[in-house]
Order: sequence, then C-alpha cells, then structure tokens
Amino acid sequence: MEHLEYTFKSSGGICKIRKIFSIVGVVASGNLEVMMERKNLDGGSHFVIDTSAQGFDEAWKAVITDFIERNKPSDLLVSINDNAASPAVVSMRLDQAFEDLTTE
Amino acid sequence: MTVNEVLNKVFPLGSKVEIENNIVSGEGRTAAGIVQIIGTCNNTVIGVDEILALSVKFLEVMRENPGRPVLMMVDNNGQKMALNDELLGLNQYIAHLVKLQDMARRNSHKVIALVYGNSIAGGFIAFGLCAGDTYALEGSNTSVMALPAVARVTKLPLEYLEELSKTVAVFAPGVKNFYLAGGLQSVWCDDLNQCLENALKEDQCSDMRSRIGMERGGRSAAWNMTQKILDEQ
Amino acid sequence: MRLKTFRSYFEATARQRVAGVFDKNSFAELCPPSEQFGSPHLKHFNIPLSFDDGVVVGDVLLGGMKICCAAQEGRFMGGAIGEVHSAKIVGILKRCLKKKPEAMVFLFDSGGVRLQEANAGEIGVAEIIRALLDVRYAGIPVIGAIGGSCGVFGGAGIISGCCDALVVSEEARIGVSGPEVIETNMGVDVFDSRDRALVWRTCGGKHRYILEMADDIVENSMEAFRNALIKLMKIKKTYDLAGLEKEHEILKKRSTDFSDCRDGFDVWRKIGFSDVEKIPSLTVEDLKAQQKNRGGVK
Repeated sequence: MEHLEYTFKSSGGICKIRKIFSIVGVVASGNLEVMMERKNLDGGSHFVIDTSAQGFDEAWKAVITDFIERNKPSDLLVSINDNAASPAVVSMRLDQAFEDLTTE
Repeated sequence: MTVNEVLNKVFPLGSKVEIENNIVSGEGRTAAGIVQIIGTCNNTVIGVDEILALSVKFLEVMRENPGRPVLMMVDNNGQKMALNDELLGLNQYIAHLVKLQDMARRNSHKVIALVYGNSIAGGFIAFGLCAGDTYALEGSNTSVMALPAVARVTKLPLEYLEELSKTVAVFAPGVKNFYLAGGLQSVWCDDLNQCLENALKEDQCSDMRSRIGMERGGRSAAWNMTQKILDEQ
Repeated sequence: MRLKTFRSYFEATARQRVAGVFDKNSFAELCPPSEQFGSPHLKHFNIPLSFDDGVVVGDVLLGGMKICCAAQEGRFMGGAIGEVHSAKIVGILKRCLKKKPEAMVFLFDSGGVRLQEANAGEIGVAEIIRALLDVRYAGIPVIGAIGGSCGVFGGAGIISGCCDALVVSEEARIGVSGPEVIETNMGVDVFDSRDRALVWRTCGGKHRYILEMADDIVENSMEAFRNALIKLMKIKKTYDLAGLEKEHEILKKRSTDFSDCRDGFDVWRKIGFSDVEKIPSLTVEDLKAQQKNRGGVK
C-alpha cells in the first residue's frame, strides 16, 4: 500500500460546495472510492490517497492537476481509497464526486 | 476427551446421554437440579439431518421442561458442504436452529454452549455462538478457517500469517483469539463443575461480547462503533 | 459526467440502492464515510480499506414510513463481514429498539465472513443474529432484500434466514457454501460450478421463491424492490415458539420430500410444477402466477 498527499494553493475560484460530503465509487479491483468534503484551506485543495498500486506518484499528480484545472475547486478536501484504478477511471470519479458535491 | 469424559467432570453428581448419529442428548445432575444436554460428537459436520435432530431436542425441552438450563456440547467440523443440503436451503435450517436457541433463552432457559472438541465456521454459528453464553474447554479448537487455507486464499505467505496471528486476534484460529475477541465468555479448565455452576449464574439478557472484546483488546473498534450509532439522535 | 440514476438493482452500489429504493432525500446516514471508520485490520493484508467498511446504515423513509436500514456493498471485498461492518449492523439493529421504526430493512449483498477478520466477522454474525431477533421480538418487522452480485452466503445466508420476510430477484442467490466449494467437495461430475443455469437452479432466486424461502420475487429494478418492500413491511408476523414449531414441521417435510433430489428441476417436479424446463426462462410475473395457481404461497 502506498500513501500519497498533494496540496494545491488557491486558484482564485469561489467555493461551490453544496453538501457536507460526497462519495462515489467502490473499492473493488480496478476501481476506487473518492470522497470530497469542504475544508478551510484558504481556498486551496488537499488530496489524501491510499492506494494498492505502488509507484504511480507522477500519474496521480497528472490526473489531479488536470482535475484542478478543469473544475477550479476551492476549500476542497479529497480522500481516496484506490484499488489500482486506471487514470481514466480516477479522472471520471473525481469529476463525478465534484459534480455531486456542488449540486443540490 | 470424549463427550462422556467431559460430562463426568462437568457433572460429578452424574449424567446420562444417548448418542445416535453423532447427536448427543440426555441429562446432567447438579445440586440445583437437572441440566438438559444437547450436543454433537465425533467432529460431525452440521447438515440438515443434524439440525433437525438438534432442533427436536430444543423443542422438547421448551415444551416438557420449561426453564430447565441447557448445556450444548459442541464438537463439529463445520457445516455440511453437500449439494442436497444446499438445494434444500441449509441456511434456513441453520437459522431455524439458532432461533430455537434464542427462543429458549427468551423463555428463561439458560443456554450454555461448551466447545469441547472442534467448532468450525458455519458449524460454530449454527451450534455454539448463538447460545446465551459460549465457553470452550482448554485444549479445544475454535476456528473459521485454518491458516494454510487462509494463506492460499489471501495469497500471503503462511509464515507471515503465523507471525501476524501473534498480535492480531481478529483473524487466526484458536480459542485464545476467540476469547480475546469476546466470542467466548471464558475458557474452562480445572474444576469443570465449578465452571458450570458459574455459567449457570450468568445473566444472559444482554449481548456484551463486543464490549468484552474491547476490554480484552481483541476487538478495539466494534463496541464504540455500535454505541455511536445507538447514541446518535 | 452526470451520475446516472440507476434503475438496475443488480448493477447499483449500496448507496445507489439506498437512494433508489427508499424515499428520495430522506436518508440520514449514521457513521458516514466522512468520519472514516474503515477497517483497522486490512492494512496488515495490504488491502485498501473503504471509509464505510462496505455497509451503509441509517434512518430513512419508505413509503412515508420511518424505517432503519442497512445496505451492504457487494463489490467491496465481496460484501464480506468484518469487525466494523458487523458493528455498524449491530448498531442500527439496537437503534431500532430505541427508535421503534415501522421496520428494519436490510439490503443484503454478502459472501459471508471476511477471512482477514474471521473471528471478528464470525462473532459479529452471531451478534447481528441476536440483535436482529431482539428487533423481531419487539414486534418490529425485519425485512431483507437480495438481488446483488454476491447474493447471501455463509454467515450472511444464515442472517437472511432469520428475517421476517425476504424479497429476491431472479439474480439473487441464497446459500451457505458457495458453488465452487460444493464442486470441490463433491466433484465436478456431481456439481459443475461453472454451469450457471445449474447454480441458479440450486440456490437462485426462482428456486428459493418456489421453496417458499422467499416471500416475493421481483424483476431487477429499484422500483420493483421498493414496491415489494413496502408491501412486506405491512405484514405483521410474530416471533414466538408456536411459529418455530410450525417452521420445524415445514423444514422436516421439505427434507423428507426432496431427500433424493439433485437438481432444482427434481424439486420443482415433485412440488407439482408442470414443464419445469421452462421455469428458468419464465418472467417473474408468470412464475408468481403459476405459484399462486398451484396453491403455493402468498
């Protein structure tokens, strides 16, 4: 198991969070669980990942950076339990969780 | 020890059982009165036939001797793994037997299970863990799955699992681990009659196994989790 | 990408089932994943945990009535029951005694005890059974739904047998030992676990419904399960010795009647169904009609 954390400073966007938390996905083989919550991070975002697939630091950084650019989140805490999902699946789950978090 | 050897120690005032198709039934005498004995022997597997035979004994004691304590003598090699039993709905038969144990307890029978041989997986749930209180004799064996099989299924080395089982009580076989996790009220040794007398005095109204598991260090999370859900408004 | 509103019960996650079967926006989850009560043990086995340990519990409305619910996630470790998972279920069951809901509804999807936490799971199953029977004894119906990829096996199969009533879909399976175990023990000539049709004739939803182990069978949709659960909630059953004596007679007769059966076909033939070969391809509506016609069940 590998534990990864990434912090992003504020992108200047406003916080659109509408729920206490959102959670999508299941920790099954090739899948992951993404939970998102509001946290006071001075407008920034923080990602905490526990993954069964070791050595994919760069891939995670890339997917998460894309997510930040796409969605411009603010005060966002993301917690992930991953069981070797592909970058495409990770990307999809991040978007799903964020959409759920920011809609009524 | 054979079932009769154990019973002789548990009931110094005398006991008498019949054994038919590995089903044990009879009575034991204590100073306070008679205890009904219902059990299995010879490491039998628990299938539909065994369940029906054991169920009949529970129904009989509830009908004919309301309030009489029941001692379940537990020795099994797990649930029967056969086509016909599954076809018939073995899970429902097991549910029936555990409900009888539960109903007996609600109807003021003390229901005491004593593992004296093996008690494995589905067999242990069917006949053992659903008693009012569950005990095991020192030297007996309680297990869900033997470590070599766990190693095969989890694809982890046996040596690693053996090492892990020294500190993590929740997964490895053995009476000690079940005791630490709160599954066994106590382990009987030395004066088995005294152990029975103590068991007969226990209040079986509440299931405190997860709290006991927390106190003994075997299950650190369960009790608090349950309480938290109970306490939420 | 929008989250789809799932219609298929089988495909859905536990959370989607809770959202799809119970009244919209009425679910108050207890010990939600944001509190991160995952398994303290899986790290020893290098397995990722889940924030809810594979079961979702809480208060919710069904048809406007207050109920408590538990929904297992079959795709996390096969829905297997570990320490936290079982403690959450015991918690919600004990909560029923305090809150006195109209019913306790259990969306099952579990292969049984989690090996990595075997003792905790095994004891947990016994604790769940005891707490479940406390709820029944207090006059609160405990209803189970089975229709996920795991069905119910092992300790979960036993728990399901302790409910007041069960609704299944055709996709459901109910048993103790799984098909591979039966094959290993009896030989592939007696039972080929890769023969899906045979497996479903042995432990699948239709067979269990015909045997009257399940009170209702529905198609694989959220709506169908919802409607069936609402109906089953209203049937008052008692948990008492007289009921157990009746159950004993039924189980004794079943074991005598079908003692030489090797296949669901044998059982259905003996029960009196004509054209048993067609049963696997019948719709659930047609099967229910046939069951009613031969005087079986509700």
